[in-house]
Amino acid sequence: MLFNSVEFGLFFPLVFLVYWLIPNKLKLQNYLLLIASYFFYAWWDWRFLGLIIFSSTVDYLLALGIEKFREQNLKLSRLYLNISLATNLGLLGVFKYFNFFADSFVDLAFLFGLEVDSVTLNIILPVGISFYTFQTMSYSIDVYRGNFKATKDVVTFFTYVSFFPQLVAGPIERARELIPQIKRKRVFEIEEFKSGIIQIVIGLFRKMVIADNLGVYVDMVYQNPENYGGGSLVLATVFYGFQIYYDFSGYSDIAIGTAKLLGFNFNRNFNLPYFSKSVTEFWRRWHISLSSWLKDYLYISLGGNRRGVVLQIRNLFITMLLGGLWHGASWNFVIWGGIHASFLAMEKVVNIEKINQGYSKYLWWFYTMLVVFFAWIFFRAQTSQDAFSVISGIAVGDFNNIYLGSLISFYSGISMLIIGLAFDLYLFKSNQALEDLGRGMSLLKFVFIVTIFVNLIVLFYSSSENFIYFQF
Amino acid sequence: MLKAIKILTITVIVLFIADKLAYTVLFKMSNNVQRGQLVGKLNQFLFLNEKDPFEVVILGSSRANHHINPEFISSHGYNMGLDGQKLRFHFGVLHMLDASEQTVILHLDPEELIGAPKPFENEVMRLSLHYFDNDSIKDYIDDNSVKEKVLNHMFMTRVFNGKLFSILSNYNKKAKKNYNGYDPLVGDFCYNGDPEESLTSTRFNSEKVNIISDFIGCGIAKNKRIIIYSSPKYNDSSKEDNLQLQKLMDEFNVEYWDFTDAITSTNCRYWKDNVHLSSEGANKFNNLFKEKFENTSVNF
Repeated sequence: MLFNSVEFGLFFPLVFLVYWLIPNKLKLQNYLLLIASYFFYAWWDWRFLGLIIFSSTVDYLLALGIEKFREQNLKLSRLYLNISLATNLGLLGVFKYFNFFADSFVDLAFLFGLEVDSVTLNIILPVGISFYTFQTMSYSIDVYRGNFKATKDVVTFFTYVSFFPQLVAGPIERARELIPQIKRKRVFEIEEFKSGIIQIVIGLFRKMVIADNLGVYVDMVYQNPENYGGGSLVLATVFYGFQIYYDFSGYSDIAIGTAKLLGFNFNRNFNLPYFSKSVTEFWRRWHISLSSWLKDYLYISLGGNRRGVVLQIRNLFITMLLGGLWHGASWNFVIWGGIHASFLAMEKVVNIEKINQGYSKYLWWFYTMLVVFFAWIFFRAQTSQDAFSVISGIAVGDFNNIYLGSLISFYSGISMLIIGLAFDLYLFKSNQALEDLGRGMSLLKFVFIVTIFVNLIVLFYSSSENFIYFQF
Repeated sequence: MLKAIKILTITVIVLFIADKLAYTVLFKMSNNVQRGQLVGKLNQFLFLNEKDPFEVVILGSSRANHHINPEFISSHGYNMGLDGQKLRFHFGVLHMLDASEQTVILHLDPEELIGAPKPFENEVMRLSLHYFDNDSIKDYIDDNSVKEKVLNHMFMTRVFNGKLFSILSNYNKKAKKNYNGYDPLVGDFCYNGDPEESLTSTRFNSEKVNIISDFIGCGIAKNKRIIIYSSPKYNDSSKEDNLQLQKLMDEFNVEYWDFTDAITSTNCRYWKDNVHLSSEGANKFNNLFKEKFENTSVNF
């Protein structure tokens, strides 16, 4: 079920109503959330429900074991943790990466003159698997590290893994943040309600209007990049940078807003990343739940910055390359991660945060955008060959004949992007978070903003069948 | 909770009023749009057809729009072909025609019958402009999609989705003199690239076959002479699909004219790309089409 579908438009108000009609029965509310979450997921493909239930069961039991033996028998506790990690990574490996590694192995063998028959599995990628496996892994690791107590309540844990607002595309909520909220009695608060509605409406605008309209041009150019000149390729790449930002931040806004309406608080997932003055800052503002996950559970586990610059750079590369691969089973994502790792490493060496202040900040902003948008080429292109075709097309030039496609669709995309950017600039200048925007808002202002954005959505939405991040 | 219900109620009421107001303004404006592919062409067609029904109506995608000049076959014809439009859009236009005797020429490529159809709402988006002022369109959409019916009533301005810029940019501009819907591709074209990729499957989709069957049935019921044709392609490599379409049309007892190989690829100036003729190529094609049209008896 997609957030921007009619089905969700019927499903959520129903869940919302029943949920708040049973306010004093926490257990019942949690049962309702669990059933609703499974229904939400099963709407996409009920067969994969088994996978979530399996993953939840394994981690629920192993976490109890990890905690039980943490004090008495660390080896056994560690063994349980390893089983938990192996199970989750195994699921990811089979469903997401098997074919990629099998094909890569065949290609590598070919390079050495060996002919190996390719074995690939005819399987589809279960939606959200990258998100919920990361969530369950963080739970087991936190319990092992003693940062969080394993929960004995099955419903609480299963709800934590499958909670529908963040089930298929995050934000990746940590157990220590979400589980206490599931256990605690939720109170309906009008300010949270207003804030949630505002965030949902703006999220829908970002996704359905800005991202989807820009996507029309991006899809056209990136489908056959060799047919377009440098100008069109630059334009499509810039559009893609904004498309993916508004698509994913829009999705996160809807997820966070939906959770707010149910009395939950998710962490901020995007903090105006295109206002960053360094790649380092960009990663503090982009997909925050993933970057902080990678930092806490991978980068720090590898040693972080504790053992000198060389090892720190090594750790950075490992984290970013794996982070790239997390997005999809393709070398393009690895290259994307590699580009970011290179600039992150360089910025560590020159200590960028000390030099990108004052008037030079605009230059550093420009540098950051150049790196980030260049890297998007690899993220969007279907193959590495396509990515290099885009880069060579840009390098060759031909900026005079920019093909715009359908002018009306192009103008829709541009004008809505301007509105989106102006809104982001307002948030940036006023130092406000979208998450807080609706709180304390007067009724008049609330109604005005909702009416404006709903009308813009109705007049300019472009029908797209998916959120980009569902594929990860 | 009560406060939330109050806020929601006020918001819904304001949204409802704002939507109706915006619809009224946009409807008035769109009625004055007689130019542009998105809004003006359909407006002009409906207006002219109501005044004096056309003898010949051409339907189809860009391969109809840019290729057939109705002037060649009738002094009172209109090319209602629109770029990117699919079967259910053409069916909707047919729905809007009254029962007067007319020849309806539908451009159809075999590949249009291959693969699952797009969602209904995507195919009829351009027609929905007249959802609230044309009963035939309203019935057509309501009968095929409850979701569309509900959403259109919830948000009336939805019928202008994606069309605002077209309305604003063409507002109050007079229609081109003697415009008959034909939009030739004029320019200094010369195509000598690859032909269109061959089809990997030639299996027609049953849902699409049903749509075309209903289209023909509706046309006959409305007193129309239906002709289906395929436009020229640059060095077309697949023949099997056209033969299959011919067979299907024979089953439906409908005339099918296959012009896929009618224009030679040796003159690159005839082609804009591998599926679109330049105005020069279209001119040559129109003479061939006229010849065929004149040699075929009228059969209402």
